[in-house]
Formats: sequence, structure tokens, C-alpha cells
Amino acid sequence: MDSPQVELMSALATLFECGKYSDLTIVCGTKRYSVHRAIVCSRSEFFDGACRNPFKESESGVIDLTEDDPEAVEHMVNYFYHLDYLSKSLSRRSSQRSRRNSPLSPRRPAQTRPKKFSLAMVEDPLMAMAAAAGAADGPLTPPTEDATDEMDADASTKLPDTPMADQHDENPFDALTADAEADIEKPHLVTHAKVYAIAEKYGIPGLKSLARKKFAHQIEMHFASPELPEACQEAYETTVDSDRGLRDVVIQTFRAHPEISLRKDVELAMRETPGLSFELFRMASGLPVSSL
Amino acid sequence: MKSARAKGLHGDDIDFENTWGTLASAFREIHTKNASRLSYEELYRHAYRVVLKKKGEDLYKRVLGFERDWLSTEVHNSIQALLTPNLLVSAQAVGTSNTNERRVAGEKFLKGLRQAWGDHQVCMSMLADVLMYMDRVYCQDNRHPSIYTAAMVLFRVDILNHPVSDTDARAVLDLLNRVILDQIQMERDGDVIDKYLIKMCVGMLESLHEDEAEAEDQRLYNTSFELEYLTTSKEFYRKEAEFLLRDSDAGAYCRHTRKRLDQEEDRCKSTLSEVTTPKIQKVVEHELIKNRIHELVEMESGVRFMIDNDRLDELELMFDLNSRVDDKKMELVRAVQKRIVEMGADVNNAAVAASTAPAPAPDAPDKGKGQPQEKNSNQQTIAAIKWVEDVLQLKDKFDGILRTSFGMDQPLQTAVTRSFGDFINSVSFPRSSEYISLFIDENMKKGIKNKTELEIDAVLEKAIVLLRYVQDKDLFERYYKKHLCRRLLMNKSISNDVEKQMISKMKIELGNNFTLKLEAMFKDMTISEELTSGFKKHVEGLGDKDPKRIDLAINVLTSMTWPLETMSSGDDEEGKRTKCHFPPALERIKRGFEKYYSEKHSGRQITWLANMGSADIKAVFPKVPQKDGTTKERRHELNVSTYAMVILLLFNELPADQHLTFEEIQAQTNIPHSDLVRNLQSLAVAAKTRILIKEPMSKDVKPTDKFFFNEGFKGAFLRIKVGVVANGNKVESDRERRETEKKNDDSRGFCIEAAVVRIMKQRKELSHQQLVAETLNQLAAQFKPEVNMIKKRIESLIEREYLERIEGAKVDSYRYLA
Repeated sequence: MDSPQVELMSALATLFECGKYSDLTIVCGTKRYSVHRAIVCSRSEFFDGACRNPFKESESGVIDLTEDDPEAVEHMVNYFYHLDYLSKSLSRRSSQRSRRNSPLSPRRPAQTRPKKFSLAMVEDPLMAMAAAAGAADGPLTPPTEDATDEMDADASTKLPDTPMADQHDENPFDALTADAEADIEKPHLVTHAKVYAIAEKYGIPGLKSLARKKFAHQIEMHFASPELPEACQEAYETTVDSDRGLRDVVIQTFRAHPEISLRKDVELAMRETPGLSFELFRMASGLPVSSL
Repeated sequence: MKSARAKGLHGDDIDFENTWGTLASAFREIHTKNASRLSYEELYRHAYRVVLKKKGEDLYKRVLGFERDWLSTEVHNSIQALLTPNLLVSAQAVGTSNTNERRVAGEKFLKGLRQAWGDHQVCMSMLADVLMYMDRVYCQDNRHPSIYTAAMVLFRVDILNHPVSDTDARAVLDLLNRVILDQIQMERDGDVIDKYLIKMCVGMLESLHEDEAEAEDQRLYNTSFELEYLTTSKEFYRKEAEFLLRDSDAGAYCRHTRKRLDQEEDRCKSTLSEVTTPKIQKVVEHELIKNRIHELVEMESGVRFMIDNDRLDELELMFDLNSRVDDKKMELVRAVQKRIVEMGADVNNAAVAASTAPAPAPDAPDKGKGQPQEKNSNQQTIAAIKWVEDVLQLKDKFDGILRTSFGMDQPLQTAVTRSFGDFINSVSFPRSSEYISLFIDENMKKGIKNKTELEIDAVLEKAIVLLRYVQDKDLFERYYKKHLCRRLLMNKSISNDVEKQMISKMKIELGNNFTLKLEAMFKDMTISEELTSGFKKHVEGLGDKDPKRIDLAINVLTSMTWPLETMSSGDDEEGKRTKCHFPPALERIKRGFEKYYSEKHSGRQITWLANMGSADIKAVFPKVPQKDGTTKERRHELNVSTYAMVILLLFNELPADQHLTFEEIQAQTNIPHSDLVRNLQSLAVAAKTRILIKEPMSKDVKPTDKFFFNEGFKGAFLRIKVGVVANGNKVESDRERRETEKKNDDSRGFCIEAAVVRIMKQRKELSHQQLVAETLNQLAAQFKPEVNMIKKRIESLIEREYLERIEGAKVDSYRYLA
């Protein structure tokens, strides 16, 4: 990558870490993100709308997104500054930097950074549901340096052979994410679907397509994951019917792996999600999937 | 669309009515400017959920319904409050009520409307931000206009297109147009109005459209206001033009028009819309200029007046106005041309009057360009020079106008040039060639004395400028040769260099052909000088040193080059042929030169033109008591014509008291009658050079008159020049001119024939029309022949079998016969 781009990216990361010049706060539950209108409003028309009109938010400088999924919000904010989310090395590098800077920057959101890691830590495939449900409950174990390092180590030993080449090719931050396989090895299907939904809600096209890409990539590898049913439901419930982004990916997965339709948990999800079952029916009948 | 499902992942199917209630009350807050208590996030989330749950259409309709309600109650009422009777009345009949009241009422209305519009825009943009997700998902998917656009349309429908009141069917929009027009009218009448306020209202009309299609040319501004604006402006300016033409002068009219154009442009910038600029300018140009330009130009204070009084700035305005509506500037061109031809005709007439006026009437049209001097010829020369100077002055004047007022505009330049050509070559004034040549002659002889090189060049350039206009260059050449001939032979030129300068100028202007013969004349002069000095040496070499020997200076002129026939007095034809009898002393030297010359150039015939020579003779007047009592012997050097010398030599032999009669002199000298008369006049009649005494003393010379040597002659100077009457370049008499023209026509005949033969030789066959056209074309640089003359020459060429008619050709055609 060109060094001026690295320079800009790390400058943005630092801005976010320190909260310097911050003129807007995004609140989600107990979490507060000190962000910059210039960066946020130029990326999302929702934030732009909130800041340019004389509503409560523009006066107080606080936007409360407690109603949204905290994890999705966090990823969204991350995306604003790092052009990525759930990506290891950037986070680590910046957290190392923030650790170094910590005596000088009292506003360092100490809980924020590690919390992400801790969340990732608990996101054991079997615990996915629980994690999603408990996400809004607030911070979990206070993070430590050890936890991060441990996870890194964990990742590299657990799935050393995960074929990540594709993603690397597509990722504009190859160099930085070279050793960032830890998180990605986990499916995160529900997370990606939620990020997709929030990107759609707040009008952030870049994040939307990034989430879709990640979702598509992960579902291809983890279609057998227990997360699948919930991810499918999420994809069909959080956007309007005409939004084909994740829907097409899901249908494609069912088409490529008919056996997943036989899974019990999938059957349950299909029963609960008429949009999904309708489209699967059309697919099975050889009709065009989308009625639109 | 599938029906909404009751249960979702989040398990919280929304209650639409509840949510709408929240949103509606928030919207009311926004409209009443209390938004700061509302959470944008919350409103956004509600709208988002509604759309996500497929209630987008309901939401969209509810919002529009809400806006419609709001506009037709709250906003409508606030507009109604502005409609004071004063406003309504004044709008119906502009100009009836008090202007000030009307302006105040109008401004109030405009302010209210602008306020309502501004509020509507602000609120709708806030609503649109809240409903962003609906716009993005529902409106786009279903191809509905965005909520903002739809709400703007509502403003047009529910506010602007709404009738003013139950009893007044005019729409609010019409009222708005009326009020703005009224305000603009006030400004045109000199009032100060709130331009910015109007600009805001115009901005509203510009952002609204006539219909839902929202085509670019269907803006309310264009379809409603602009149309009316152009119509009322047209009427206004039509009346204003009428008024101005009646009540002010042309200069003021031009200035006013210019001002109006600028005002309208400014108004479009500051008050209305710049898209209107070209349109309103066209209206003003049409009403104030195009429809009136003829009247304007023809006004008493119009173009003619401006030209006569050098109103350069007004002419410039006139030019500017005319060029706005007409690339060719026809009206201005016509007026300028007319004036030039008129002024030129005046100059021509003045010259004719001055030259024909009887000598004792010095106060003739020629106003005080020096008193006409003793001789009629002088008066004519002065008239000629004055003509040239007047024409040049006219030319300067119009050059100034062209430069200062018309920006060297091409069509006008052409028009001016053509008009000068018209009057200079006018059929009723055939003297321009002669006059120009005389002008040069006068300057060569006197005018350039004590002038710097630059000044001289300017004079020559003036002559060239005029020469450019002259059509019949051949006639000019004829005169110029004649005048040059006299200058050269009589040594009248101040500077030979200047003469040559003039020739080279003419060469540049008229081409090599034109100056060929003129240059030959100079060449003859040079050769003659060599001959003279050569002959002098030759005579000295003969050895017999004779103190009484006569110095001979001679000019040998090639007869074809020099217009010698014009040099003779031309009074009697036979005079040219007769040979003067020279006294023996002269006869000897004459033979000597003839011998010398034939040795150098064998086979050449020399004809002696005694009428053109001059002589310096030393005369001794004996001691005779003078009136003042002195009895000194007096010596004078007399400069006389050759004829006068011959006459005086007769008296050398004669005893003092003897006399010769006119007839005796004529018999002894064989000098042509008229030349003799003139020479005797200058020797015996002219007061200062009365070397002979005539009996009886009278001005006329009769054959029986007796002549004595005037022993008592007394001159003031040692050198005395005896001028011969009428011996300078002067304007021709009518008879002379007819003769010159006849000669010119003859030589034109040759030129035409030569051109025709040249053309036919090349083309072999040609139709009559083409031949005439080509002939005219070939001769254009020299003169413009009459078509009749060309026809005659062609006939003559056919007779002489240079050409033949082609039998049976569709059009008259000729064939060249080799």
C-alpha cells in the first residue's frame, strides 16, 4: 500500500483512539464513542441529517443509538475510522499505540477497545445466540493485554490453514491484516448481517458492501455453522424485500448446499421466516426467486 | 406486495397509528419551530421501522396529507392576512392609488409570501431528513417524487394556485406577478424598491414548476412571471419610445436607451433572473431601437445633426444601438452616406462657384481663402486647392468619426469609402482628377517650401488618399503629366527628390504601368542635362573663344512621352507647325547642337519648341534722365521667354527713336500670333517689366500698334523676370477640358481595344456579356469605361476583322480571328 495512504489511515485511527477534536458523541447503551462530525457526517446521510437540522442531537452533540445493536454500532464506528471492522491487526496496532499513549490521553476509551476483543473472545460458535442476546447488557470481563495476545496466539494455532487468500486479495489493507486471521476464522455470520442492516439503515454504502462481502465469504466456508439459521433470519428481517444484497447470498448458499435445508435448526428458522421460505420455494420450483 | 407479517425477529411489530401519531405531533413541532426538543434519532427510527414493515406507502400519503392540511389552513390564513384592500385594488389598476401606499402593501405581501415559502422549505428539508429512509427505499423503489419535491408541488397547488378569495378568482400567483411588476414599474419610474425581497420571490418561482413533469423550461418563473414581464415591458417601452421621440432629441434618446438597457441588465442580475437578460434586452432593443431607428436617425437632431456638430459620443451611441439590432447597420450607413454625398456635393459646388465666379467678386462662395488675385486663372487654381483641402478635411472628419465613434466598423468603413468615391467621381463634377493634380503641382512649386520631411510626406500622402477615390486614373495621369511637364521644363519644382517620392508613392498605389511614362520624363531630363554639359564641353573644345557666345541649355524630350501638345497655347492650330525665325546668333548655335546631337544619336529628328524655352539676357539701358533726376547707366539681367528674347533682339539693331509695328515683328520672327500677342503684352503692357513702349498704350495688342525700346526703363532689382501672361499650370477652361476629355476618350478607345484583343486572344470565344465584364475588370485600375464605348470598340474590331460574331449562338458571342 502507498505510504501516504498508510499515513492517512493511521492518522484517522489515532484521531479515533484519542478522541482528539471530537465534536460528536455516539452513545450506545453504556458505551460512548467520541467521533468527528466531519468524518461521520460525510459518510452517512443519517448522521448528516442529525447534525445539520436543529433537532436535539445537533444542540447536545450526542446521538443516542441505544436502540440499535451495540455490536453493529461498534463495527460501524470502526468502519468510519478504519474502513474495516473485525479486522485484527489494525485494532491491535492501534490499541498498542493507545496503550503507549495512555498516560498522555486521559480520554482514551479504555473499555471500548478491549471490549471488542472480549466480545470476539466469547463469540464461540456455540455461544453465538447468547452472545447476540447478551450484547446489549454491557461490558463483560475487563480486557487485558494478555487477553489480546492470547487470542492472537489462539488464532494462529487453531486454524492455521484457513484459506484466506481470497479475502486478502479483496482487502485493501493486505499488509495490515496479514496476521488478522483470528477473528475471521470464526463465522460471524450474524454479526455481518447486523452490520449490513445498520449500514442500510443509516445509509453507508461502503460499509454495506463490505459487510455483504464478508458475509458472502464467511457463509461459503461456514454454511455448516450453527449460526446459519439465525443469520438467514437476520438477513430477511432487517431489510426490505427489495434489498437483494444478503438475500441473494443466502439463496445461493441453499442452492449450492441443498443438504442444509434438512437441518433441524434451519427448518425452525424457515418456519419463522416467511420471506425466506417463500424464496426457497420459488427457487425449488425453478421460478425466478425475486418477485420484484 | 405481500402483507405485513405479525411477528418478526425482534418480535415487536409496530403499531402504525401510534407511530404516525408520534411523527405527526413531531412534524407540528417542526412547523412551529420547536424542533430542538425532538430527537432526530427517534423520529428517524420510527420512520425507518414503518418503512421496514412495508408501511412506506401509508407513511408517504399521511405526510403529504399532513402538509396539505397545514398549507391550506395555517399558511393559507397567514397569506390571507396580507391581502389588504389596498393591495387588491392596486393590483387591478396599476397606477391609481398612491404609489407609496402601494409599495408598502406590496412589500408586505412579498415579505409574507417569502416567509411562508422559506418556512416551508426549511421544514420540509427537516422532514425530508427525518424521512430519509422512506425517500431512499420507498420512493425510489416505487418511483415517487421525493417527499421534499412532492411538498414543494403542494405549495404551488395549495398556496400559489389558490384563488385570492371566494369573490376574487385570481390566483395568488397572479397577484404575486402583479405586485412584482408593480414594484418594477416603480423602480423604472425612479423609486427605490427592495430588490433582494423580489429576488427571493423570483427564486421561489424559479424552483417551482408549471406541472409535475418539472421540465427545465416549465418553471413557474418562465411560464408565468416572465411572460407577463416581457409583455408589460414591451408595452411600457413602446410608449416610452413614442414619448421620447416626441419630447427629446436624438442624443438624449440614445443615452436614455443605453441607460434602459443597462438598467434591465442590472435588474435581471439583482432583482429577477439572469435567464431573462437576453429576452428583456431583446424587448428593449425591439421597442426602443429596431422599431424606431429610422425615425431616430432621421430626427432633426439625428445623425445629420450629430455629424455636423461633431457629436462623436452620440454617434458612438447611435452606432452601438444600431449594431444591436442590425449587423449591417443599414440605417446608420444610409444616413452617413447621404450626409457625405451631400457635404461632398457642397464642396464640389463651392469649387465650381469659386472657379467660375467673376474676378471682381471676391466674396463668392469661396469664403476668404485669400482674395482672388489679379488673374482669373489664379482664382481657379485656388478653388482647386481649396477643393482638395475641403475634401481632405471632410475625409479627416469622417475618419475621426469612424475611429472614435464607429470603432473602425467594416460596413461603415466601406460605406464611407464608397460615398467619397461617389461624390469625387460625380458626373456633375468632372474636375477631381485635374484638381488633385493641381494640388500636387501647387505643393511642388510652393507648398512644401520650408517643410520638414515628415510634413512633406503627409502632404503627399493626402494626395494619394484622394487619388485612391478617383475612378478615372487615366484622366489623372493625363493631367499629372501635363503639370509635371511644365514643372520640369520651367524648373518650377522645389525639390526633385520630392517629385520622385511622389512618383514612387503613386507606383505603390497604382502600379508600375501608371508611372512608366512619368519616370521616362525624369529620365529625359537627366539625359538632357548630360547633353547640355556635353555640348558645352564640345563647344569649348572648338577653341574659338567667343565672348558673345550664347550658353545653351537644352531639354530633349521624347515626343511620345511628353504631352507637348498641351504645352502650346493651343489658340491657333497653325501656330504649332510654324517655325520661328531665330536671329543669326541663335541660328548658329542651334545648328551646332543639331550637328552634335545627330553625331550621338543618328536618325533622330529634333523639333525645336521655341514656345517653351526661356533665356537670360543682359540688357544695358543708356543714360537717360529719369523721373527722379538720375542719369546713370543701368544694367539688368532679364529672364524672358525664348520668343521675348527673339523680339528684343530685333530692337538691338534699331535706332532708339525707331519703332516696329506688330505686323513687322510678326513678319520678321514668324512667331505664332497668339504667342506674339502674349509676349508683347508682357514686354510692353505689364507695369513692372515695360521694356518696350507701345503706341497707343492699351491692354490689347492690335496689328497696327507701334513698339519702341524703352530707354527710360527702371527696375528695382538687378534680375528681372518677365513673365508671360498665362504661362502657369491652371485650371482648364471648359473648352480645354472638353478637348482633354476627348483626347482621353480617344486613348481610352485604344486601351479598350487592347484589352478586348488581349482577352479574346486568350479565350478564343466568349459571349458578349462575359467579354464586357472581363474588359471592365481589366481596366478597373485605370478607369471605368462606358459600356457603350466598349460596344463601339468591339464593332470596330469586327470591322477590322480582329473578331467575328459567332453565327447562331444562343447569346451574342464573338470569336477571335488570328
